[in-house]
Amino acid sequence: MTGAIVGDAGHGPARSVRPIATAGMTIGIGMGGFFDGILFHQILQVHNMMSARIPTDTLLGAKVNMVWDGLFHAVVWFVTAAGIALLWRATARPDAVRSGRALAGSILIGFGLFNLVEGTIDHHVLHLHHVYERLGVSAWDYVFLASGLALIATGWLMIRASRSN
Amino acid sequence: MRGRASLTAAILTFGGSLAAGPAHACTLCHSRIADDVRAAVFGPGFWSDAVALISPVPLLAAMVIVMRRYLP
Repeated sequence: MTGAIVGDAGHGPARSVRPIATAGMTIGIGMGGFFDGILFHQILQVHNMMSARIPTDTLLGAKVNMVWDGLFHAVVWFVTAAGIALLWRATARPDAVRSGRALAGSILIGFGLFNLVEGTIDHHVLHLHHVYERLGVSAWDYVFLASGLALIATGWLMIRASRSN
Repeated sequence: MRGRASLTAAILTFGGSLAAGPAHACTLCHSRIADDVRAAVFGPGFWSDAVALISPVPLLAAMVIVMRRYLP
């Protein structure tokens, strides 16, 4: 049986981790986007949203990338808002498991999914940018993908642990 | 009344700052660099760049649905 518990032998409603996990994964995707955008795009400035297409070494190029970074942040803002709405709905469901560990684990899964999917599509398929833009596709892009897998595995184990408690 | 005057002064100060010199490039400013930024962002490649920007979203949504199904 995956994702749901079939009740407590008639002592209450069936409990499911799915509502809170769906919310957590969605929030995690949004927070993963913010982490990438704030740390890599803005603080470290090792890449920007379109930095492989539009070089950032001129005022114009930096400004254009800044607009695209803003649009990227707008997208992840809406994803995060959707996650919060899903979490609100999950808390209202009597059959939803309320576990901090399951929520944290699902947020990590979402964070990992962001790194894995965004890293694959934007860094390797579309070449919109790369983790360390000066190097183009580099080991750092594969570290980024690996971090996604590690986050997913960690989150998965946390949810499994929450189910065994 | 005095508060309204202060607010008006603040708005005028902000608005005045938008009447930009050539180095100003706020997205809605009317300066040369701002015009160039808008031309670059909203040029012929805008829609392809926009689609590229949101292209991970459908796959992420699909991954969430799959992960949800196979959660431990």
